[in-house]
Amino acid sequence: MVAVSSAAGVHEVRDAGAVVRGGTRPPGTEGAFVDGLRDDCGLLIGGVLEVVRRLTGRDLLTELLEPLAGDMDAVSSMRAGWAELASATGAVGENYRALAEQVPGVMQGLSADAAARLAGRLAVAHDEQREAATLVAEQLGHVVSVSKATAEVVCAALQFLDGLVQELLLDAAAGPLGWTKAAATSPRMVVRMIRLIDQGRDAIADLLRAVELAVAALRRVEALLDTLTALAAAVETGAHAEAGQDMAGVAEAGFFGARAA
Amino acid sequence: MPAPPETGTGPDAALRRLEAVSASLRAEHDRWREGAAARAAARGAAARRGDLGPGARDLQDRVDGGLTTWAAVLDGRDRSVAAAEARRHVAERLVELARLVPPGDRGVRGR
Repeated sequence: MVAVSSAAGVHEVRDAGAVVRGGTRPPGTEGAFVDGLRDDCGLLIGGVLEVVRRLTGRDLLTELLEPLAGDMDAVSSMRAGWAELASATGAVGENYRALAEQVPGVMQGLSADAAARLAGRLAVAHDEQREAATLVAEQLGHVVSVSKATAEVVCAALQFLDGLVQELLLDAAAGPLGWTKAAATSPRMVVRMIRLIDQGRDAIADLLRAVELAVAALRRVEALLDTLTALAAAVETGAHAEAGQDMAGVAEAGFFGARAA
Repeated sequence: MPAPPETGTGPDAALRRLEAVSASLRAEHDRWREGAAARAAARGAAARRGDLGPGARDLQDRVDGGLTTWAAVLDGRDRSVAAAEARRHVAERLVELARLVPPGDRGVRGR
């Protein structure tokens, strides 16, 4: 190894810890929207639950409301956490890349070449980690978006269903004379109620499929992170190997969080 | 880096589909509501004229006089004889209607 200059030095180009400094979990920002819709729907369901059950045998609570009980604040928080991780690992990668470029300025020779190559490989490894973390964040974001859209469909269906039930009850309360006229349209209203419940269920099926897709993506990322762990171990940087294992752990947490949603 | 999962049937497609369903439901609900107001007015007028029987006329008179509401009649807060009779009518009509629901549409269906 040949020192070029005792005054020369290297510096980090990015403050990689800035994004994640403090170590606190980022707040979830999307849960309140879904919670609000769910509460509104819950109030509506309370008024029509028994009528719909008697008319159709369908249970609005178990079919439409309970499947929306996932904690979207938690998933939203996870998404933000993965986005922060992506930003931080990307910054670390940039620092390694800059370090590799700065090596010739502070030392030369075979050792310097090896150090620059090692820094370059670590830069690439962190770039891969950034891409993986970004993918996880995107998938969790999709789950949150689909969850919100599903809640909107369910609420729209329940609002319509509530109106149909109220009109049906008023027609029925008018007695046999009033019912004679309504009897022609009431069966169609019941058929529409059933279709509304089915539309809500179809929306929930879309949400479940979105979660399955996210889980599949997280599994692929987990496999990728295993590879990165192996790479980090191969370059004998114990700290990075541990970091890779931590990422796999976080991927698993994201997987379970998404599945719970 | 592995390729992202297929999006043709993925979350983006699901999002577009769900948004379309929401918009369609709201539009249909809005159209239905426009007719519902007219139907409610016609029902009230028929009750006032006595076309729906003395019980319905009595209840409509009390609703018009601010002594009760149709919501109170339906949910049981109105304990009057006419309201109880109206609730009995409702229970009977629901049983009749439930008989018209095809068996395949009854109960929670698996998917």
